[in-house]
Amino acid sequence: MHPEKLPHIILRIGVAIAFLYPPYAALGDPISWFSYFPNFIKALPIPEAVLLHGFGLLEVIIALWILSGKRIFIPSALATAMLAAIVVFNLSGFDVLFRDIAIAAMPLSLAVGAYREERAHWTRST
Amino acid sequence: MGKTISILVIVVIVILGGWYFYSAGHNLKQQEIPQTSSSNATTSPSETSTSSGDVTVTYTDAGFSPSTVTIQAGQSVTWVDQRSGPMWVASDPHPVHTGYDGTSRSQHCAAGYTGATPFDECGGGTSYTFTFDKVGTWGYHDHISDSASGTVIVTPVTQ
Repeated sequence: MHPEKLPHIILRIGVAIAFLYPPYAALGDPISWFSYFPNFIKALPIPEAVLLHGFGLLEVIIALWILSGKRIFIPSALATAMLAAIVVFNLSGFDVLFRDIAIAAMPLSLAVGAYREERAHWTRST
Repeated sequence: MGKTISILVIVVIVILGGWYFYSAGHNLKQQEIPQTSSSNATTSPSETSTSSGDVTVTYTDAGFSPSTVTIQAGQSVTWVDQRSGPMWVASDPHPVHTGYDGTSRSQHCAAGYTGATPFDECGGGTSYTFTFDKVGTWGYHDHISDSASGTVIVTPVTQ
């Protein structure tokens, strides 16, 4: 393994952990995790379980995609946006959720790096 | 390009930080105005006080009202749910509820728990009363919808 790849792998593993644990934990404690959804989402005519576990499925897809390391700009950007949204819509819990801002720096870093690589690929392919 | 991005990031952090500290300072000022709940005291618009000194907080779609209450140690707060769904009042932080007595929700809501009565409804309901014996400022939230939150300020008993 090229030594320069190790930090990138560590970042991806960290983001994956942050996105694999919530859907797993939500299976056992859906009330706690569903409470993080903003009210305008809860007001949608969609069953809570569908919203919660559907969002969890999205988190799993993002985690696995980032873990793969292949063309990860999209999932990294999504991960950044999702973490930022969790903080914004749960400001009353900022004393705990401030950590999500720090965690969001990881997928943001991956997204910035991936953008540079993938833009070069898009440029070559056009 | 790199310098521009660095400056942009710093500006965003400063703006977010300034907004956060402004919000935190505003909330702190509300918590630093303790008021007695005796019958001769003027009741502030942020409190509801009965003749016994106990307080009632109503929970509507707009949140808890009043959002901040002040009582003396040994007095109670009753939360009344006026929304369509159940509420679950519990101590901050979500979701572990350890703020009031240090025990977690999985501990103090477990069947057979023999410790002190927790500041935790331990389930959905439409009314909940808790007697505060500990002096301090206690944040709480609705566990089912943790964006709804409030504060109970407990002051020492005045003779």
